[in-house]
Order: sequence, then C-alpha cells, then structure tokens
Amino acid sequence: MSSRLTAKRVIIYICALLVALWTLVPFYWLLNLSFMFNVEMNSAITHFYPHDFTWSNYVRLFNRHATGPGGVDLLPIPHGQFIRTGLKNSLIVAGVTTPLTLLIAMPCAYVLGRYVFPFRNSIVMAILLSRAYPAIAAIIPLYKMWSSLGLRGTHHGLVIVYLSITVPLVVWIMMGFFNALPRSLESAARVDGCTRFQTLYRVVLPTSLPGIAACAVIAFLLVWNDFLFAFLLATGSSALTFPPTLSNMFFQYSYPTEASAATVLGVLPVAIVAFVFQRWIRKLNIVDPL
Amino acid sequence: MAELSPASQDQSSRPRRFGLGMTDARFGLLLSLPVAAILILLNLYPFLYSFWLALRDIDLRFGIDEFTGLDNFRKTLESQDVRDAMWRTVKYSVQVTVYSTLLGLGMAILLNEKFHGRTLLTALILLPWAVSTYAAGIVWRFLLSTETGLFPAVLFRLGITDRPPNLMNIDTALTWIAIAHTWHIAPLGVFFMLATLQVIPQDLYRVGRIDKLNAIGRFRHVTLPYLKAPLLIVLILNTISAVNVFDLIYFTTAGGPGAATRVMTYEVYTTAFLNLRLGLGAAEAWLLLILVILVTLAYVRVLYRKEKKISTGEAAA
Amino acid sequence: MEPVYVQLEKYKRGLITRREYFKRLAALGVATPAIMTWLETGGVSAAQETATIAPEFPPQDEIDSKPIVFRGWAYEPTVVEDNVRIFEEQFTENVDYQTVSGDYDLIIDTMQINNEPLDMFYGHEIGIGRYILQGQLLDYSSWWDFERATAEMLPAFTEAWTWRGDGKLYGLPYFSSVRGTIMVNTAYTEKAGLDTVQLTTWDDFYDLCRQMKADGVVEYPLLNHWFATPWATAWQFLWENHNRGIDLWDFEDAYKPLFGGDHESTKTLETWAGLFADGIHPESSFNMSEGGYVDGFATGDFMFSPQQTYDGKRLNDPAMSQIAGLVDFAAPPEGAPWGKIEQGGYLLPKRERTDQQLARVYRHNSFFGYRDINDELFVAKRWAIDHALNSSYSAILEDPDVLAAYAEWMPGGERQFNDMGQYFRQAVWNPFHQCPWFLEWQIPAKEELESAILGRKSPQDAMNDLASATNELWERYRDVILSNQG
Repeated sequence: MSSRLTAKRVIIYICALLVALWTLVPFYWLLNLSFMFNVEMNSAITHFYPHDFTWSNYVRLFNRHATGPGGVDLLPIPHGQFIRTGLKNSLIVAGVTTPLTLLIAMPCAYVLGRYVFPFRNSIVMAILLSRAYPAIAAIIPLYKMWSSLGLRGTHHGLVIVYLSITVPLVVWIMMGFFNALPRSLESAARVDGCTRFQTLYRVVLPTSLPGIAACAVIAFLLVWNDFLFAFLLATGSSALTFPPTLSNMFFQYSYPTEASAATVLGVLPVAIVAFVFQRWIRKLNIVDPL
Repeated sequence: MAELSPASQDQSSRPRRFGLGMTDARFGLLLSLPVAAILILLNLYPFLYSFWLALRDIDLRFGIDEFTGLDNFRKTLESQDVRDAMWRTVKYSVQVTVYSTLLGLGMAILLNEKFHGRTLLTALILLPWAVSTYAAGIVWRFLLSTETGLFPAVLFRLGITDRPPNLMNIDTALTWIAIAHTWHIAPLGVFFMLATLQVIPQDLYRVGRIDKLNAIGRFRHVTLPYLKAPLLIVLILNTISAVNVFDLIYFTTAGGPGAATRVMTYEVYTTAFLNLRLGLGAAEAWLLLILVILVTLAYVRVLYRKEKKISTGEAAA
Repeated sequence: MEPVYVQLEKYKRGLITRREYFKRLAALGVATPAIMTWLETGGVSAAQETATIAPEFPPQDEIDSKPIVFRGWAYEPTVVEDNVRIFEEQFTENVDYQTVSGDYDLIIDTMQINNEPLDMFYGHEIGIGRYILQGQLLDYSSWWDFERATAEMLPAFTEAWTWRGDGKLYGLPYFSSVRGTIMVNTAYTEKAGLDTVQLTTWDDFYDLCRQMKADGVVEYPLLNHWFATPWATAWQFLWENHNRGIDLWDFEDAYKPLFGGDHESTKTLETWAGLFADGIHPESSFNMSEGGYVDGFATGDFMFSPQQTYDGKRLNDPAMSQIAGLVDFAAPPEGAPWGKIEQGGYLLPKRERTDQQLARVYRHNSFFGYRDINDELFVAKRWAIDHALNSSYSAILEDPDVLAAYAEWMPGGERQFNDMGQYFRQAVWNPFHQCPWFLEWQIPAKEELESAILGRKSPQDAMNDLASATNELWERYRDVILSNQG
C-alpha cells in the first residue's frame, strides 16, 4: 500500500516538473536570447545560456550605445523609438479603456444577473454572438468606417474599438458573478430604504470589489495584448500600440536578440500582473464565452 | 458560472416598486442601455455593413467601388484557394482542440492532487495564457527556428540529427503552430476544469474505492460525469480560439512554407488588407463567420442543457 | 451633361461606377486615351507639361508657417533627422519630418487613399505604378535640374523611376543596390582551392554549387533568395528569368503572362526543385525573415548567397557576423546583367500647391535625391560612406572617399569595389516592376514556386496554376492599365 502511494507521489512530482518545464522553458529561451550579443547568437549552435551575459539589447532599445565583445561600439537600436512610443500608446489606450469598460459594463452586468426585464435574453444572446465575431471579419467594416470617420490611427479610435471587445466580455463574466451573490444582500438594503441605484452603488458594488478588480485586470490585459486591431487600424500612425510596432522587428532587419529584448519589455508587465492577480481571476471562475 | 436567465427564486418578489417608482423593467433597460448601444453600433452595424460590403467590388488600390450582387460569394465558393484554406482551418482547429483539451484536463487533474509547490505551479501555468497569441508566436518562433532555436539545438546536441533540423517544414509547420497555440490556450481550460474538480465530493471517491474501482474506473464513473459539461465547453472555446488564429501564424510562418499554414483568417487578411479588396474579403470573412456561428450555437446548446441538468450547487460555484 | 471634371470627381467619390464614368466620358466625346491620361495625371500640373518652373520660393513668413511634410520609413531616423537639420540650415527652411512604422505597403496605400497632405515620402521602385495609376504622384519634369540630374544617373536606374505610361520621372534616388549580388564566403573558396569566383550564367553557377557539395567542401553550398516574405522567391524568379533572357510578360498587353507549364521558365523552376531535392540548399530558409536571411548567411554555414550589395557591410561586421572579413563578391559576368536593380526613391505626392510652393518642394526633394546648396551629392554620399547604401549617380560609384569607406569592410578591397560597380553598370530594369498589380501577384507566386521547390507540386503544375492565378489578375485590371498606357 505505502509503496504504491510513494510511486504515485513520484509520478505526481515528475508530472509537475514536466508541466513546469512546458510552461517556463519557452519564456526562458526568450530571456536567454535577449541577454546575448548578436555574434554569440549567430554562433553555429545557439548557446543554452548566455556565455557572455549582456544587458546591451535592453540598453540599446533606449537610445543608448553599448560596448560589444572585443570593445566594439554597438549603436542604439533604431527601432527602439517605436518600441518606446508603442509601450506608451499601449499604456494610454489600455489605461483609458479599462475604467470606461467597468463604468459601462458593471450596471448592465448587474441587471442582467439579477433582474428580469424586456430584451434581457436578446442582450445576453447578442453579447455571446459579439464574442463569437471573428476579429478579422469585424475589422473589414471597421477599417472602412474608421477611415471615413477619421478615427483610423487615433487613440480614441482604438479605445472605441476595444470597448466593443472588453465590454461584452466583462458583462458576461460579471453577470455570473452578480448572480451568485446572496439575495439577502439587496433585501436588507431595500428594507433600510435604499433605492435600486443606492443598493447597487452602496451595497452590491463594494461587496463585489474583488470581482470588479479582476475584471479590470482582464480588460487591461485584453487591450494590452491585442495585435490585430491595432495592426490594421493604426498602422503608420503615431497612435500605434506596442504589439504591431514589435512585429516590424521581425520582418525588417533586426536580430532575434534585440527582438527578444523588446518582446520581454511588452510581456513582462503582463506576466507580473497576471501572476499577482491570478488568484482573483481564478475565483471569478470565468467561462470566457470565447 | 454564468447563466442565460437569472435565478428563479428572485422572480417571486416581482414586480416591486421602490423609491423612484421605477419598475424592474425600466431599471433593467436603463442600466443596460449603454451596453446595448455598443452592441448595436460596434457589433451589429459593422456586421450588417460587412454584408453590404460583400455585395460590392471594392478595390481600394485601384479606386474601384461598384455593386456586383452575389458575385463575391460566388467567387469565394468557387475558389480553390479558399477551399484549401478552409480545410487547413479545420485540420488546425481539430489539432488545437484535441491537444489543448487533453493537456488541460491532464493539468487540471494534476493540480487537483496535493503536493508541494502546487499553489506556485497553479499560478505559473496561467502565464502562457496571459501573454497572448502574438507573444506565443514570437516565443515559439525562437524555440523552433533552425538557427536560434532550442529544440533543433537539443536534437543536434543529443546526436539525434547530424545538424540542427528544420522543424517548421511544409509538412509539420501547421502542427507546430497548433502546439504553440496549445501552450497558450490550455491554461484557460485548466482553470475551468479545476474549479469543477474541486467541488466533487470526496465521499464519492471513497465509495468508489470500496467498490474496488481502480484509478481509471474512478475517473470514468466519478470524475467524468461531473466534468462532462465543463469539458464540452472547453472543447468549444478551444475550437473557436483555433478557428480565429491569426497572430500566431503571422509571427511564425506568415502562411508558408508554400501555403502550408495559410488558414482561412490568413486568406481573408490577404484579400482584404494585402490586396485591399474589401468586398471580396468581406465575402470570405462571411464563410469564416458561418463556421464560427455553428460552433457558437453548439456552445449555446451545451450551456442551456447544462443549466437544465446540473445541480444548483455547481451552477453557483 | 456636367463637365468632365465633375464626372471625375463623382467617380473618385464613388458616386458613379467606373463603367458609368467611361460611358459618360464617351458621351462627352472626350474618352480618348490621351485625355484619359491627362485626367488621371490630374489636370492642372500636367497641362504645364515640360515647362520648367523657376526656382523662385515663397516669402520667408510663408516658409516659417507652412512646413514641408516629409514621411520616411524608419531606417536610421537619426541620420535622416540630421540631414533634415542641415537642409533647414542651408536654405532657412522648415520641414515636418516623421518616421512611420508598420506594414510598409499598407501604410503608404492608406496615406494615399486618405489623401494625406504630403510633400515627400519614400517609395520602392516596385509599386510606383499603382500610385501613378491613381493619379497620386507628381512627376519631376518641371524641376529646373531635371535634365542635368538624369544625365548623371545610370540609365537603367532612371528607367525604373520613369512611368511607362507617360515617360516622366516620378522618383529621385534615395539608395540603389543590386539584389542578387552573389556573396562568397571565402573560408570555403580557400578550402576548395578556388582563387576567385567568376560568374557566367545561372546554370554554371548552380553547377559550381553542386560541385562544391560533391567535393565535400560544405554541406549546403547555396542559400538562395528563398525566404518567408512574399518578395523573396517571387523576386528571384523574376530576375533570374530576366537574367536568363526568358520573357515572362507581354508588356504591350497590360502585362499579359506568357508563362505556363510548357514555357521556358518552367525549366528554371525545375532547376530550383533539383537544387533542393539534391541537398544543395537548406529547407530552413523558407522560414527566415529578410533580416534572418542575411543573418543566415552570417552564420557561416553556406558558401554562396544572392544578397543586396549593401549587406556586404553587415556580413563583414564583426559585431554581427561570424564570417566578418571573409565575405567577397563573385565577379559578375562580362557584359551580362546579374540580379535586379533595387531602389528606394523620394516620391512627390500631389497636393494643392502654388508654383512657388512647388519650387520649394523640388528644392527639398532634390537636396535629398540630388545635390545640396554647395552642389554636392551630399545625402547620397553620406549614405554610401556610413551605411554602404549606394547610388545610381555614377559619381558616387567612382568617388575615392566612398571607395576608402568601402575598403574598410571589403576583404577584396578595390577589386571588390570595382566588381560592385560592374554589377551596377550591367544591371537592367524589368518593366514588370511597374505592373500595378505586382503586390497581388507576389502572393500566389510565392505559394506556387515554393510548393514546387519543396516537391509538393510538379514544376509544370505549379506554373500552370500560377499562370491561371495571374491571368485572373491580368483580365481584371487590363482595361484600367491599357487606358493609362494607351
């Protein structure tokens, strides 16, 4: 009996190790390349760890020179300015979209989760279908509309587009969240003479803070991570967000070492935020409709 | 767990009137108005507009814009390229769905066991999902590239190949991208299934042991019935994510080698945005849309069925 | 019926269809090809035709309040900024310079479609056809230095900027290169006991590659121009057939494709498939980006590769290359073209301008694309010295300062420099580069050619399929093109 138990534990730990490797090795490789000089990366077989560790790829993205192996002067990475602008734009667009999303989505999610009213099911159905709309299909009409409205390549143009993605998702998630709250919450508030609005703002929303915060994180990640909408609706403009500026490093002349460093700059904040807030996100028990 | 109709126990107290003299109906409509406006202006209108576009020959590069009726749809249905791209989308989606659902299930079962470091591992496996598809594409591009890749280097160092092999070739590229997609999407299923696994009463397993069921038997007769609904939903979510793949391909193979990874989204992108033929692109997108809608309808069915069948305890979990 | 220009405006705004537009023009009795060209190239400025405008510029307060708008691709923006500063100092000028980033063709197309007010942007020699066809570019024929400047350029390179429809020059040279210059990793030629590599024909070159493999000199002798972008394999197919003297197009009939399964060009594709099947060429190149393709050669795994002339510098740079100091050029064949002309140019978009404003834009664009206030080829020479970008001004190809700069990285020294000059002087231009549907064509071309090289389709089938895809494009755009090239 005990030997079987031990065998089971060994298997569990082996599996856990494999899962950890599967999850982390790709990230490790990205970091590995980002800490190498180009020459080392170009060596016959790429090294499994940087033999000549360097921060130079990061430094050079910020318009600074660096010293390469053998004292060679390494110029700043010309593309660095776009990467920096891209990060700034991503921060602006995601930073504006997130609070707007919560403001628009929360009241709706609340009534959808708690009330019966006309068109309720139509709205729920529409939310579900909107999540199913393939991005590439949605962009074709938007490209034409945004061009004629002058919204192409602007921050607010991107914010509006992202609202059409984040709002339905957050409504969907919070609808379930509000629905699961105990009924006694509102009845007590109403007995105390609160109106529906007061009940929502004084009682329901404060109780739901962890869920709302998790939704804020999800909305932020969704915008920060989007490539396609920004790529097709902001290319060539000064509002271009990080992911498409990054893509240029892959199709132009640039080195995997430099591109890795730039990728890390965009991925690291997301990884940290996700790691810190993962418990909240998990508690939401999301079923992303898509 | 989200539901399509609010819990029934609330309906007994309806209609109620409070301070402002507002009915549930008005309150509900008022608060969902902004969302309804977004859905109509940013989803429904573009949706209908794209159909109108599909009825026109719009060629921005040549300044052509004329009504051609169903001609674009005819071209789309007759095109061998579109047919090939659809078939690749199907092949790709099946792979992603199978890999990511199985892997997600495996990881969920593992994380449901008690072991040191479980909390940390649970947090870590979220990372590939959090970094999005474009980053997944970049990371896997670097892992697989013959010149800078880890996998080819390992194969070479272990002496399995006599030089770092080209893994992303015309036969294997689609599968490797499906694996990269699995890396990204599997964690979502893990969380969903893990939540369900954690509410299965331990008593049931004890009963199972008394009945002399082995591990496989316990999984089949105790775990699986609980997992059935979440598993189906994960399957569908993974499928739709796979059908809509774009960034991953753009950052790894850009449709090549040859046409090996030219899936339907890439076909639409080429027509609408590389060739700037928006009308034809919109018609092709409609074909993709129909595929996605079919999968979504399956999803809705599952949700409704789940609502009817599953005990209230889980629905509220 | 309303006058011609009203019809044109309606057509442009999509109020009437193309067919309706032509019909109404015919009704007005003006739909002759000449008038069509005149309309498409946009009335007023074309009416002045060859008349040179005077180098008279607006008053200083107008210059100060209205900057020249210059949008450039993000290549070495700090150098460009410095050049802009020098221009502003030399002429007390005012320039609004910004770089754009993103999918290049998409950006430029969008700028053009949205009619953004621009005075200069970078353009690739491939692609000007579609801007001109839409009447978006202004030519340089009324520029006062037009004759002098074109006399200094290598003719084939000038031809590339001259629109076949009207014979006018639409671009000033920003950089020039020969794509397809054969780079030689001399570590392997030394191993093989070869002194120099003298090119004659593509077939001889491929035979040499096979020989190197057979002699065990190197696993993969060749890294061909076969990488993942749409402009890789398709472009080599164009230039190699052009070098071989095989005609792929009927230029007089709106670029009607002449190829197909039993055309001579199918043999080129068969040769390629053979190179791959026999292990002369690696498979990994099909996943490389353009930069990765240069870096691929820099790993030192290959002996020969057709590259851009200027990448010789990067390949010989110890900070970037494993084979720094070893990369020589194969000597180009005597008197025969090799590779393709590759040029970036300064294009002049149409915009509402007075003659004085136009003079100002000419002065600006020619500072970058020709001479500065001291009558020096300042910008071109700076690119050549600092970044090994060369020029179609033959003076740059012969400049001793440029030679000195190149000698620092060219292991073959002056001999290699002269070889490079010969690649330039012998290069020819392929009129297909002006085909307005060039970009659309690249996509099926890449697919079909790659499928054949990788043994997925027979070269005959691939060429037949490519021909039918090309015929669709040809038929679709034939009328538009013929009405413009009349």
